[in-house]
Amino acid sequence: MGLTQIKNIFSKIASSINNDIVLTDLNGVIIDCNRTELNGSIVKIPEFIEGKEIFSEENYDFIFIKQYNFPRYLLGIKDNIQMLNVVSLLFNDKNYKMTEANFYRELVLNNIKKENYDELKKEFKIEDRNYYRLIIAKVENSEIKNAKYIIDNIFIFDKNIILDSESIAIITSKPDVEIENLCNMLFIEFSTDISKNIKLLVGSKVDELYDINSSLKDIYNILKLIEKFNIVKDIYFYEDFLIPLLIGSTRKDLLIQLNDENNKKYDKIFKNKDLIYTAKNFFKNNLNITETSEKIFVHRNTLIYRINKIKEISGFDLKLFEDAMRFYIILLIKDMDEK
Amino acid sequence: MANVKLEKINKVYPNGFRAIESIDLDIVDKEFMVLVGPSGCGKTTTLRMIAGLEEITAGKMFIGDTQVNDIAPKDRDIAMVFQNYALYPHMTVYDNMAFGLKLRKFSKKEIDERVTHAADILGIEPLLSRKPKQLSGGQRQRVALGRAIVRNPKVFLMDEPLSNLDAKLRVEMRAELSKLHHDLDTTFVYVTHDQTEAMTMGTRICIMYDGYIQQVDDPQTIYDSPKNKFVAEFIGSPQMNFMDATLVEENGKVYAKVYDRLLELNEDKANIVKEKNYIGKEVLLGARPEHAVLDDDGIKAKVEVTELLGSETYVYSKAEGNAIVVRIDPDIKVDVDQEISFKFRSEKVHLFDKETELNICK
Repeated sequence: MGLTQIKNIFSKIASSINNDIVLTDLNGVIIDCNRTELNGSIVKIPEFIEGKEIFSEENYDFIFIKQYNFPRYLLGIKDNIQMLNVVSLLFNDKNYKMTEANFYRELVLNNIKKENYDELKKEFKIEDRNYYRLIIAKVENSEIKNAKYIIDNIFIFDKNIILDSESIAIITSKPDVEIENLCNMLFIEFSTDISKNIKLLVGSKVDELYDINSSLKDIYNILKLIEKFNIVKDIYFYEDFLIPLLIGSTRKDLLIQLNDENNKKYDKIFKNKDLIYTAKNFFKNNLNITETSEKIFVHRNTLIYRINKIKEISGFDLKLFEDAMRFYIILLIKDMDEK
Repeated sequence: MANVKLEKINKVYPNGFRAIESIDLDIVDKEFMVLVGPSGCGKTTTLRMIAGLEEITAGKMFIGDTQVNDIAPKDRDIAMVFQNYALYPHMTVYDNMAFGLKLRKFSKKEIDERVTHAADILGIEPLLSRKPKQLSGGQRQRVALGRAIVRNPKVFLMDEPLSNLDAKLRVEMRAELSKLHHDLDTTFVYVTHDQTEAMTMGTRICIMYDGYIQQVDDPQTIYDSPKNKFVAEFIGSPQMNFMDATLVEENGKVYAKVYDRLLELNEDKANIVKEKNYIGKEVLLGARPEHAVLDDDGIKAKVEVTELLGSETYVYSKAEGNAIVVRIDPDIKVDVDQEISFKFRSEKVHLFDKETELNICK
């Protein structure tokens, strides 16, 4: 039973009873209710005890609504526990069967216990691979079918699952270069033929399929970061965000203090567009003078002059890995501050 | 068929990076416009804005008579070909070419007609039932072009489509793309960092640097009359030589004094520098290697390396510590450490303002 079906049943019930009724996610965020002013707000949810079917908290009594046999939503009714018992029958998903696609889906969402995992893995004859990686394609609700069609044709030997109405998960074991190529292809194909509203996020690698949810968690962290810093890219690779994630997890006041100090110390560099441009490109080109000078089309002597200039002002010799790393982080903090 | 017009286009990324600074560009219908420049100059961003893959921060973009700023890529009637011309590995060439049309719900008959027609243009009909892994690099690139052609677009947008090919194939494909442009008789916008591709394929070239357009002209004009030092340096291989010079007037004639040698300027240049009050001032003199003539009274330089190319020889030398490259006849033998003297043909030299780096005589 999908969310749309759940919401349809909910709205029929809501319009036919007088009691306050809410549909929430597992954090208590209201998805739908018969008091429209409450939409989007949060209700206090009870502590769940395994085996118990009805839970009470303040004025509401709650039941779980399951999808594919896993608790996914909460239905709460005020002051009418009998009604809740009756209503709960309407959400019974009797036709549920654990298919291979559902297995992957629940695995990504971390809904499968280890003992069940081992059994299901055998049942679906899933062989181990060297590593696994999750890619999430986020698209508009109306384009999810088109996105799935393209993804199935691009990631043909991978597991592609519709995760929710706006996300498709791809579980792959392909090498990084191939992932990048295929993601590029997907981005272009989708953007030019369907809609440019597509975000592709590539999570971290995991050794065991069972741990694929941690790849999803990393993707959620990237999502937070790109929203926070308004980062716009075609494809978001977890590896590109390692240092930003590290810095992003540092206390804000410390970062501000650090950036203020840097602004004073390296003001001459920060105000010089050429020096910043040169440094960033030098990092991009693996501290290679020849490659950088070719890419940014400056004479290698000019490039060396600029790198020496940075050394003269800051003391950082960008030709040395450690100094380059330090200066890279300084620039990153500065960029974050500006954003 | 359509022209593409960019009016005061700006692109500023959310992090504040200004990728494009108020550019104006009029790409006329059926022309092969090449956007060329070093990495980070804004050429790909410009192409992506034409495609609709990047938001335009300010300015207006037209394809034909339609302002397309807010039109989705799929509705712009464009087709793109990229460096990573990835093809669907499990599909035949036919299905690869048909895929985009299927997504757009074209009828089977229409798809078949378009794919067959594109295959005919590209000469890949015998390959239609093959899969990508059974194709050579050049054939794969042709299929990628085929995927664009079947759309029958108003404008083709190409982003470094040849850069994944080996050198020999790249030369072949350059000629094929020019022929394709001629056969299709439609507008091509082509991005490359390779000046040879730009010079050989473009009906006009737009040279970009640091988010600005430096010059838009046909290849010969760009080569012969660069607007500024950047363009002069960027186009031509080996690069143009640059030397410090002082402009002096003696007995009514104007000379550029370079390494204590006087080079008389022709009348046109002399008049311009006088008009613009450059007499007595230091300028940058630019001269291409092929415009050097061996001359005993000329600039003295010590040979460091010679490059014998068969039809010509390039001599890499040092004059007062500055590197100068000259092209000489291959029959003339010069050795490393030998001293040579040469002059540059005065009608071919360029004079650049030292501060603005603009071509004084342009």
